[in-house]
Amino acid sequence: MIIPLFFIVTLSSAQPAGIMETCQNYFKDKYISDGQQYRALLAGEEVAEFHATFYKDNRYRLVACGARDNQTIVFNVYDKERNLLFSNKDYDNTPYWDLYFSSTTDCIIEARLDTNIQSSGIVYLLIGFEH
Amino acid sequence: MFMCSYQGNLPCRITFFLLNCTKYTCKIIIMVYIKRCFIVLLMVLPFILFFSSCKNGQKTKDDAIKQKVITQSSDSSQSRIVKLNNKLFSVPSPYQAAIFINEQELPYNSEVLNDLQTSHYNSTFFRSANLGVYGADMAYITLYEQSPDAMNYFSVIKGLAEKLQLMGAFNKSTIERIENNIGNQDSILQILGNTYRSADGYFKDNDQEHLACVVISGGWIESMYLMTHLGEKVNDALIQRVGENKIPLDNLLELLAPYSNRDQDYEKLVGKLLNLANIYERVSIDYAYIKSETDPDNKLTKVQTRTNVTMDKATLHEIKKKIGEIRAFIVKGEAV
Repeated sequence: MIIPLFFIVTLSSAQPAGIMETCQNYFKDKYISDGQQYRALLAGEEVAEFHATFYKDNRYRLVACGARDNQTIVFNVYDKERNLLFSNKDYDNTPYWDLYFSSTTDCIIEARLDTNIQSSGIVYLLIGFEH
Repeated sequence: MFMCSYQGNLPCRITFFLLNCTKYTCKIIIMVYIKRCFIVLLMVLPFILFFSSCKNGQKTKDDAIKQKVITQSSDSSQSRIVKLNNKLFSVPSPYQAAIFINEQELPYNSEVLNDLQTSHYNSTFFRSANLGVYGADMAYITLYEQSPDAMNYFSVIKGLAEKLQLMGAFNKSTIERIENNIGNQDSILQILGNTYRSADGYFKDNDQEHLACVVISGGWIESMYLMTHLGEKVNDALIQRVGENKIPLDNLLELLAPYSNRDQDYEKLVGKLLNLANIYERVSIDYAYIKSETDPDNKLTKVQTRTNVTMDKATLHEIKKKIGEIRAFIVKGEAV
């Protein structure tokens, strides 16, 4: 009992070296980070839910990364009424996507692992905006 | 001789009663008192009931908000949602507020910024909160291309980061990049955004999520303060933007709620933000879903939903006042 618990705590608190750099590379020099690092430790079909507000007339980049190179993250963006705005599943689970908002919108981003590839792992989500 | 009558003040009346009453006068005095008390009670009762119901209504509202920020979902349909350390709520970047202010073409005003003196920030709470405050100030200064102020404010940020042992995020290379790019606003905002994100990650890696939340709170409060205190001009864009922060405020409360009993500073901050959320209850947000359009070649989705904020000027004024109070609490720091 103690060993799995220790493993989970260690896994959830330690940040694999270089993962942030990999994620950040998707921002290139064009996007400014919102200053926060969102992450969740997932197992199986678990879903991480991120609540965010996106401002009018802004283009944002969402980046979803896993702790491993081959890790695929599936993410969906919904509005507050749970209307689907975007799903990366429709685009080969691409790790990043841009969203332009013509009006300020409160959104829910759901992220989960592709369980065909991996049964557990850490999901990182970054949000950047264009200036 | 005792000089007051039964019509005097209460201690006087009691003394008068004890000194002067005979059986007969006592009877009259008691009857007069009972009659008067009854009339007064009849007159005052409706007011007591009215204010009591108002107070109860207010309490119920406060309780509802508190419940809202503290309750974890127990709905079985939500049981698969992982709320890792409750850190799944985003607050918009204070840099976006600075960009918004800049777009309003308001003149630069360094008077509203936080003072450069930080020696009175003696706890990790106030150091973290003001790290957020100075980050928002730095973004504002950068957008107005005020290089000398930018150098001074960055120096303060460095000092606070050092005291918070954040030198992993504010490392030598980052500091050099910022110092070499002062005047290049895009580069500065990018480097600062990444640096604050690294600091956020550092706090989370080291079981200091509470401090990460306080930095975010400081940045949000300062950005709201700058938006509402930089000019007297109230235009529709300002009303919309301030009103749109209703949900980000809820998100901020969700972030802070687990730490609200950590110590009196956290408790005060959450209490003040709850009061602000109470004022925000008067802001109404109309929303309409419209289907998005996706351009796969450019990996871009255009979200075309419609949101409209309705808020009267009195509510904006109250929000401004409350933001000013919360900001004063943060920048004042604690007494040594």
